[in-house]
Amino acid sequence: MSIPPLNLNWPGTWLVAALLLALLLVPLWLILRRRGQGRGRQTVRLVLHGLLWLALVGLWLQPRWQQPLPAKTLLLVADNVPGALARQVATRHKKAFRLSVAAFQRLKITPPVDSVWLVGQSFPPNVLARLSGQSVGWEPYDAHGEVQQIRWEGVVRQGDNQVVQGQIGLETPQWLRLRFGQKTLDSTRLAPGNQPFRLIYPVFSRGRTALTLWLDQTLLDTLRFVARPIPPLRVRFVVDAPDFETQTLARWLGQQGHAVTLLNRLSTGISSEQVLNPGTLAAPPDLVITDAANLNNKLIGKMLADGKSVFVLNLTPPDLTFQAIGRATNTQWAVRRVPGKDTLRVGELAAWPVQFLPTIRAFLLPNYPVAVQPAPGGGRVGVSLLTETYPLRLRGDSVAYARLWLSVLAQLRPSAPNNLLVDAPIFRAEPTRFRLNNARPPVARLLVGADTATFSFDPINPRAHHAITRPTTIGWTPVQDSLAIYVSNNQATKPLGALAAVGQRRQTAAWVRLHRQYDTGQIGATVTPKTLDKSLPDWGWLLLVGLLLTAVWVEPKLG
Amino acid sequence: MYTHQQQVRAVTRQLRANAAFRSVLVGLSVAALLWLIGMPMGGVAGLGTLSALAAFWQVGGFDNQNLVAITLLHRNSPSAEHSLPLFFRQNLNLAEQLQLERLTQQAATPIPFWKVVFADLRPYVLLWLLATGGAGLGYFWSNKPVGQEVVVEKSMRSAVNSSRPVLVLPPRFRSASVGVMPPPYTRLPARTSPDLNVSAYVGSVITWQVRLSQSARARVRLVNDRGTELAFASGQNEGDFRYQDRLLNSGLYALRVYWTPPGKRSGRSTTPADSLVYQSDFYRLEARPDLPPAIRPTAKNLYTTYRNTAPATLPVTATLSDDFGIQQAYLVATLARGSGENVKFRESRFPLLSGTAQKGGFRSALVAHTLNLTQFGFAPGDELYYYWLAIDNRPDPQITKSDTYFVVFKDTARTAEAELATMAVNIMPEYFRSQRQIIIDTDKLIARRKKISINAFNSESNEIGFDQKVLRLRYGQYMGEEFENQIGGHSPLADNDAHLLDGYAHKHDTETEKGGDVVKPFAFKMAEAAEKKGADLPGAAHADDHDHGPKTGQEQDPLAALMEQYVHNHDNGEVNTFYEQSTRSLLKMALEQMWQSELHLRLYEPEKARPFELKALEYLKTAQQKARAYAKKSGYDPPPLREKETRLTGELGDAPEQHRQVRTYANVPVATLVAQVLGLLELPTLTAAHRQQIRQLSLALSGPLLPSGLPNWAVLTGLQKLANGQRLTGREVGQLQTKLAAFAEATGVGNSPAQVAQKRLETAFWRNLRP
Repeated sequence: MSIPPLNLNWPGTWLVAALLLALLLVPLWLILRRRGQGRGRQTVRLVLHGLLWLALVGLWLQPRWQQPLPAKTLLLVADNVPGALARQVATRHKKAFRLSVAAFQRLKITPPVDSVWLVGQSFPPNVLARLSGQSVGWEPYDAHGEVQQIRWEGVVRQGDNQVVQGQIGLETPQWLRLRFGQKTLDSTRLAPGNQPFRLIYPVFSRGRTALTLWLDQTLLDTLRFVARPIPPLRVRFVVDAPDFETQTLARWLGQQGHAVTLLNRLSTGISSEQVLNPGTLAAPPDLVITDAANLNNKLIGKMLADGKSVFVLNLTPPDLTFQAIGRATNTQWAVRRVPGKDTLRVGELAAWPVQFLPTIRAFLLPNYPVAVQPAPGGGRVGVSLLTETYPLRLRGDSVAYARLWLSVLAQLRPSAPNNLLVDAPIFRAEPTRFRLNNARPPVARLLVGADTATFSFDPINPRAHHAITRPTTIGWTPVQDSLAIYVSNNQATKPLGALAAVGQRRQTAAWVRLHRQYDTGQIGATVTPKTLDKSLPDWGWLLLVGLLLTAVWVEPKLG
Repeated sequence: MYTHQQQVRAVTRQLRANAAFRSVLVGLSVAALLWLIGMPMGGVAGLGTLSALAAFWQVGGFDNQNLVAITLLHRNSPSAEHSLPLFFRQNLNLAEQLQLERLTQQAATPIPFWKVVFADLRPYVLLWLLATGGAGLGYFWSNKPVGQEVVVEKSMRSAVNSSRPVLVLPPRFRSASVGVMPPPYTRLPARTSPDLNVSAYVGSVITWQVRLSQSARARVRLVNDRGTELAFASGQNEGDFRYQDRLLNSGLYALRVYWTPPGKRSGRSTTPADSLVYQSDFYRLEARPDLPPAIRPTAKNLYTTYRNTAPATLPVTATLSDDFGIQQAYLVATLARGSGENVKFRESRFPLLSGTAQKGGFRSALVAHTLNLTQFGFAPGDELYYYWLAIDNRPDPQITKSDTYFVVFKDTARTAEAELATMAVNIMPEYFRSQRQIIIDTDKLIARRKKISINAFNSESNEIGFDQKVLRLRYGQYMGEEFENQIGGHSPLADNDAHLLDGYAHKHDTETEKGGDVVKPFAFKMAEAAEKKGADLPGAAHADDHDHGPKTGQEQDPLAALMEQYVHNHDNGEVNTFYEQSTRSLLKMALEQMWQSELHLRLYEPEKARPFELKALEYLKTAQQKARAYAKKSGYDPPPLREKETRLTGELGDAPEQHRQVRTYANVPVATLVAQVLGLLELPTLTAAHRQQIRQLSLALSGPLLPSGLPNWAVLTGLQKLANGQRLTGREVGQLQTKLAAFAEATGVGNSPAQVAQKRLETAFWRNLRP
């Protein structure tokens, strides 16, 4: 048993000692002086007072004693880990000594053991910090319905796909839903066990957006990101004769706010030019819409070389071999002719009897016979097998028309400048990596809240930069002037949200990984005594004092 | 006499009153302080009473005050001679009795009651004043709206009187109610409700009553979702405002209170100097239309035929209903008479509700009427049209007409004529058996041979032979053989005196045949007959001198050449036929087979006939197959147009060389506005530009949403709240997100963000990528 050293320089120590001495002597004197009481009663009283005095001295001096550690392994069990699992882990590590996080935090010194096994993942940073000299192992605990990993884009452009993917542990088959308000954007049915999931939806909002992730009827957490607006496109039509398909498409593009030039050659030397929204037409177009006959136009080759996109529509049966299209655009198309049919039905539209075959290059648009392929210059080439789309518009089904062309346009958008990418969720004080691609003009620094991060070059891609920062405040933090990131809290807050749980798991995993990397276990092995300091908690002392006081008070009344 | 005993009792009461006064003052002070810290009135009253009771107890209100009263009297009244306790003591000794008697005989000196009742009240009054003053000050401070407290110097005139600043407070909103007076014809009761969401019939008079704390410098406005304002008029009482209008359309509205601070000019119109001191939530104003009357006639058939035998009256019924009342209802019948261009119409109108019109009509009723057809003069060939007409009781009445019903009087005389006319073309199909049937019949006959008598057998075989003949003649018609005798060499006309069976019999075994005189075919017989005729009339020239075939026939065949000269060949089946050569020969072969088959049937030898029958069928079928021809659609086939050469080569003339058309779409698409606003919902505060965006979206959506019904109005209400700077609850934000997402861009597939790499590397990658 040992007693922590007293601060003898503090006068209070002497005062308390004097008071305690008085508290011992005065009652003793009073009891002994008193006549007319039995010997037995006197002894009882003396014992009671003695005990009370000892309890007070104990409370003051806080004595501690050593318990020899029977095991060489310490199991540190997180709060949310069920007892059964902790016992199971303990049996696996023979003679392991189990300790809860709260009990560990009460220890004044870290117990000297060979190794520490962390069971579960919710450990406060100060606990982990105290284990820095130990060899550490980790047994994560996958609670039912707990998200183990999750990732989405922290900054995304409107119209781009927001992909939420991760892993979750389930006991029964359940639905995982991604919602905006009450609208379900995407959902997936997950089987029991640790299941990876992937939810996708095209972003339709601008600015700060909050989605909710639901497991059946339980709200897991809110996922926040920023959607950047997309600049309007500059579209140029290169077609010979005016036809209804291109006219309708040009008008629709104009109504959507894009700058459109539609040039038709009416006769030799006579042309008709239609310009819609002539805002930024001075710059070269982003997208050229043409037919197969005009693919050898000089403009098309120049555009493809500049990394712009080309879309080919109004195909005729002779074009369906795709040889001319492939030659003109330097692309390769794999198609299969559907025998015995003049046209194929695609919803309410008709398409040529040809099917695109999936290849490593081509992206086939689901639901529509349209394929998009990257061209060597960095642009994209799209081909539509639809015979005509304007009947949708004439019929008044503007929603279906818009859905078709928005889906097509999304694939043909040239790479936007200044793409800032960051993986969400972002946690406070955790390193956050910002990636900047296609910066125009080049940027050296990134403002994140009150901090400034410096961009460094990517070793492989000279057009990519990255910067690492550690956000300090929880909540929306502005990035540069118009963007923002949402910083989540990964510290234990009850009830623990799905993101906080992920954050803690990530933190513990990173810490364990770091330990493994430097294998600090040898330091602990040199510590010889294998004992554990133990002491009575303050409330125990107080309880003892209270009980003894009661006994002292009750004792005279008994006789 | 006013005795000492009475005086002691009076002073005791006065002391109690004094204690009561003090305790009441303490209670009031405590209550004022409690009210100041914002406790509810019940608590204030309860705690005030409790503290008053405590104070009463503290100052000794509940104790016996006799001793205090006696001490007081001893101090103030010398006549009491310090002996007043004697009145309350038992067992007096002699001296005390004497003193008591003395006192009872003396009159007491009265003490003025206020000296006792109001004694020592000063500190309590001071406490009460302090507490009340503090509460008053606190009340005025706590009620000042932020940024609205205005301490101004009094105007020039009042500055003369006092130089102290005066607190001028803006008006506060107290209550609002809305009264709905439905149009009188609906006979609905007027109602008033504090719920400002109004749903009423079109034409109702709506009255809004707003009560403010004061009406000075205040103006109340009714504002719609587009920001248009309507002014309230001041009411009779102070702080009352009133606005009345007629409900015509649905919409959203809110109430606003403006206030002009002192020192600014207050006018009827709102100026920038005015402060908006109150803005209500947005409320719904729903105009329900009065529906037109509904007519449901009982008769289901629109078209009925009347016959002479039917009764001359036609009872008709219908159910008429309206949401408020039908004022008038008619049955309108029109008689049409005549035909062609000479049709005359006569319309009659029968009022159905002569009695109920005065009573303001009815809501729903089954109305019956009997049309007297004789009264109309309904005659055969006439048509009667009738329909129901209902007019409701709206001042600007709504009229509903039912479908028109037709009653037609059948004209039987004309019908007979028409039927006769069709009889002429009513032709029955000719009966004849098919070749296949003949084969089947023959088979049956062969099978039954042993069961039936020889006569019956022969007769039946003969009948089948007859059927075969009919069929042969039928097919012969197709071959151009118009007469029975043209086939098979039987020619009764040419050979009347010959043996009748010659044509049918195969005389292979006869002498004639053996002798080399072959059976002459029909054509040969005809030629012979003609030759015979020509021999009879040697001098007769042939009248028919036109050409009937090749004149060179003589060299080819002497018989043909002979025929060329004499035979008029128009009706020759060999020449005039519908079929080409092969089909014709097939048919001909079939006919020959039939001929053979008939021969054997007639000779009662069905077994022998059967192979011929089968052969005939085979030839017929082959001919049928061959006769099927593909007829190519004929028409003009233009030469192909050489587009590459001829396109863009027309005459240009004065055509302008360049057409340039520039158009700018100013309207931002709703989807873009929705996207912008969805991003604003997460912001903690909205700037003026943000609110303008929200207002723009609200305006764009109000068009399609307002007629769609109440559930969607929550979107507009939410947007209006945001535009006015109010905070939304989490539930409202979720609702707004859900509803607005439906208006967002409906992209099926999104883009996957591509990262730009070094161009040379990227090009090389795509060029060298092998699947």
